[in-house]
Amino acid sequence: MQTVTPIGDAKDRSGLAGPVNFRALKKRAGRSQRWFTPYSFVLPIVLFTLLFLAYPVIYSVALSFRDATIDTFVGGDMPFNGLANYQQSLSNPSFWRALLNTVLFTFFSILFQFTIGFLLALFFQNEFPLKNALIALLLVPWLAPILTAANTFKGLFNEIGPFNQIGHLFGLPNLPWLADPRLAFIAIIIANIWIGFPFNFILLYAGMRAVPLEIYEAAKLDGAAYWKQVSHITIPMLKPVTVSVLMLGTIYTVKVFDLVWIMTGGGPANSTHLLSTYAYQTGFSVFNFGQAAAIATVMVLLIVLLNLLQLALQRK
Amino acid sequence: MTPRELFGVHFSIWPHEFVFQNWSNALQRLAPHALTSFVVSLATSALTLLVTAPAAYSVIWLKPRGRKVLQSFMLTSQMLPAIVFVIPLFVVFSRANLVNTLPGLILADMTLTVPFALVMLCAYVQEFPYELVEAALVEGASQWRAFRSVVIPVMISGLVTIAIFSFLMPWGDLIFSLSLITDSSLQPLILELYKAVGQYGVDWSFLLPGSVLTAIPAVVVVLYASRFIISGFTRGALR
Amino acid sequence: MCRSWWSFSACAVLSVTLIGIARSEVTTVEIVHYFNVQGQQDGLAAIKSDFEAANPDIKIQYTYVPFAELLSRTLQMAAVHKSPAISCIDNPDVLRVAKAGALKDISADVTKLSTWQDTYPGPKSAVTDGQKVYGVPIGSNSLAIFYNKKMFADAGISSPPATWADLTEDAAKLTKSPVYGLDFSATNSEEATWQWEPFLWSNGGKLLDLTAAPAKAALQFWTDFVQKGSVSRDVVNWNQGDVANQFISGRAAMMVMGPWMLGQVHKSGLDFGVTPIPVPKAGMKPVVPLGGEVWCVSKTDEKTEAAAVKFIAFVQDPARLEKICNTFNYISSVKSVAVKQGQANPELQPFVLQMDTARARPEEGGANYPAISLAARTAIQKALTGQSPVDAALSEAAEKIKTVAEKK
Repeated sequence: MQTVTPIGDAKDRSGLAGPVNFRALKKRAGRSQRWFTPYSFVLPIVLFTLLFLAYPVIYSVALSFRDATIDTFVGGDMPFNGLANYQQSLSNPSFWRALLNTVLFTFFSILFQFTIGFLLALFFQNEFPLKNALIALLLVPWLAPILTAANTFKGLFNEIGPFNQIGHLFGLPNLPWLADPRLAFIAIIIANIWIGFPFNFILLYAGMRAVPLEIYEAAKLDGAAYWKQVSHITIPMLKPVTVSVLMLGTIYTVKVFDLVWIMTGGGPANSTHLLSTYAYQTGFSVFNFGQAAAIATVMVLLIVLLNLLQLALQRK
Repeated sequence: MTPRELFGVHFSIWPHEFVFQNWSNALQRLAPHALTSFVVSLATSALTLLVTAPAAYSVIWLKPRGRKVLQSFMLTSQMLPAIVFVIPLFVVFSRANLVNTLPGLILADMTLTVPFALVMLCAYVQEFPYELVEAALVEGASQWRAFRSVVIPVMISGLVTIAIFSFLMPWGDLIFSLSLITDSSLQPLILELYKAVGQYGVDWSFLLPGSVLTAIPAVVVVLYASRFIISGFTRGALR
Repeated sequence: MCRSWWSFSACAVLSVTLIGIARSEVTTVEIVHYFNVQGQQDGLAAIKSDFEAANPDIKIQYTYVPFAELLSRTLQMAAVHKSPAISCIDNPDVLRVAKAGALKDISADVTKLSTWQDTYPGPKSAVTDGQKVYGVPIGSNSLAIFYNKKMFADAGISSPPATWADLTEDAAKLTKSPVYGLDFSATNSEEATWQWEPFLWSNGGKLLDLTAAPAKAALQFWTDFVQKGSVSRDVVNWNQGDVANQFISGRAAMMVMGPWMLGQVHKSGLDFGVTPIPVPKAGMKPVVPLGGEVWCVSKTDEKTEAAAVKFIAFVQDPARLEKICNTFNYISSVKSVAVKQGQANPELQPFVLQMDTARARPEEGGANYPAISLAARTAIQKALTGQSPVDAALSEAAEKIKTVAEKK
């Protein structure tokens, strides 16, 4: 058992070296702790949640059951219309297309973002000159305003743009990236991967850093090769961070809006609409806020489902 | 580079002539807003940590009742697309006279950062060895004292990482600044940049240098703080 | 002691009230707009200084809001009763916003303006609902064909296209990789419908009747360009700004564009000309959609509304109107002023000529126009990308439009 050296207090800790009887400690600690301390720790966040998170969520769900369009919104009396908004959305084929797109978009984005982020995080565990500078550089895709990234990608995917010009070197013809429904979908996924991998990278990197080196050294002494170490030490130890990163990544990807809206506007002909852009179009181009709220609620249910799925897979 | 060179028939990476004018124009337009962005991001980051760090620690280790509800609610609220947030927040803020104020924007940005911070910090805190706190408690420290002296130093790398993200998220946030700030003197950098995309075409001569200039402070912060993350580990506990 | 305290406080209250009254003599008029081009910003500043000099008791405050946000911002503000005094709303949206109850009926004040009688019927209809008037057009614009004179000369084309047949022929002749003969905007926004409407309407078609022959022919006309390769397939992704970029950088020989781009095209030094929208057959008149923003007075309080009306009267003064319209690259909605503009500037002449027959978009479908436009542009995109043949795409759109029209 390794020696635990607590920090913070200057008092002599030598008496605590070696195995410690935790149960006895817990009993003593328990008595000196006041009952409301855990609650005082969470009080600020609970207040914040109630005011600024709970209210909008409730408002949004309530809105989805009302006939809220441009007229009724300003007037203030938005009549209750039950499940009508949901019915209208679910019977619209564009909605299902958007749903399918969202699932595919999320799946492929996360797959590549996480893998690339993970491999990079592994690579950066080593020390080498200019490492910090490189890290900062790798964060640029995430740091750059989406506005710029989206417009730039739009230009890059132009029919006579750089991507196609590079493609020429490989003998490819001019691909109508953003004009062809299927290619446009691939284009937005590529752009999203570029924007999202730094997020995965830096969080996995920090998590990997926390794994104590002694464990790796012990494994090396036992003769474990590099990838064996990774699969048997790094991956299991990173489990909580991985779960969080995947969950958050999923949520953020489903919510991706600016990128797609700027690059394709949901087109051509609704082929790249995600639920987020479809909801926006329903809310702010056609001004049916009630229906937009309904679509947003469906998005939430979808995310909950995806997260439950992920958790179930993790348990295996 | 002029739009001609950007989109022209002979696309070239290397500009024909360096038009520094673009950069100085962009700098002039963006400079007044840099302070606003900085203040908003810094405040959001600091407040987020202040509110979330104790909560994460408590949820995992002190286990108050109702913690599962809090955690799942955090996740749920994150799942709503931002546009749906905008209208209710706008209504709440108008009643509280927080529209078009920096505190209002900070609070709105916190709705982005706080749930994220809580979820991630809970993960990092799970790796924390509670024995350290118990040792301190045995010595007679209160939970708060233990938190300040024991937990925070050990968790510093995770905290700094989350602080960086909480700084960067408001830096690039468009949707809340767009709906809540109309006074041009209060606009963060990103709003000024957004003006480059108008109905009358994209002003590339402003957008490109402007984007680089907007990203620079963020990159600097990350560079500076990443050094902190690295050194934070050498100060780490499990050695 | 008590009495002196009372009299003191009475004095204090009185003086504060007096000061308050004196200060409140200055009314602030907040104007929300999306003019982000430097020339327009300068124009706004000039108007402000002139107006404030003439009216020292009114202060103008401009608030810039990005184009896409203006409408939702107007609604949000109205919902919480914090509307700006004036909003510059794009003309097809005016009646929509008025129906929602956010705008003030200014018919009484407007009919007093000398310029009102002289306003073209198109812009007038965009702001009028029966007897009520909800705004005054700042100016108008529409669409025409911009063409690259040098490319025309090189290809041996002596005059710009006047009919559909000419356009097809010229576009084909001018297409030489990587240059396209023609470009227009067909992106997933109002811009697609807007750019298609000149062709639809000039051919006698209607948005409310998309399965009829004129509509089919109009969409087929567009689709043929893309299929032949005279128009880039990327148009389904380009907004008008992108299209202008293509034209300016020499990647398109012609483009469908409006007068607001004149400044930018001039800046690039390109040798170009402007010609009216080609008509299906010689002798017909082009029917173009009306663009342009409207000064709308929101429902606020009496004082602010009065100040706002004063402002509108100020900018509608014929002496100023021409200068304002030129700065903003508008054609004036007032006939006498527009004619003067056309005479002074030949590039504006095609637009001026088209003003007589220009049509306001909400004439078809009124408050349902946004949903109708959405259905139309989906059809346009499906046809242009080859996802559906023209007939099928239009039938699908017509179905959607029927549902929308039936709802209200």
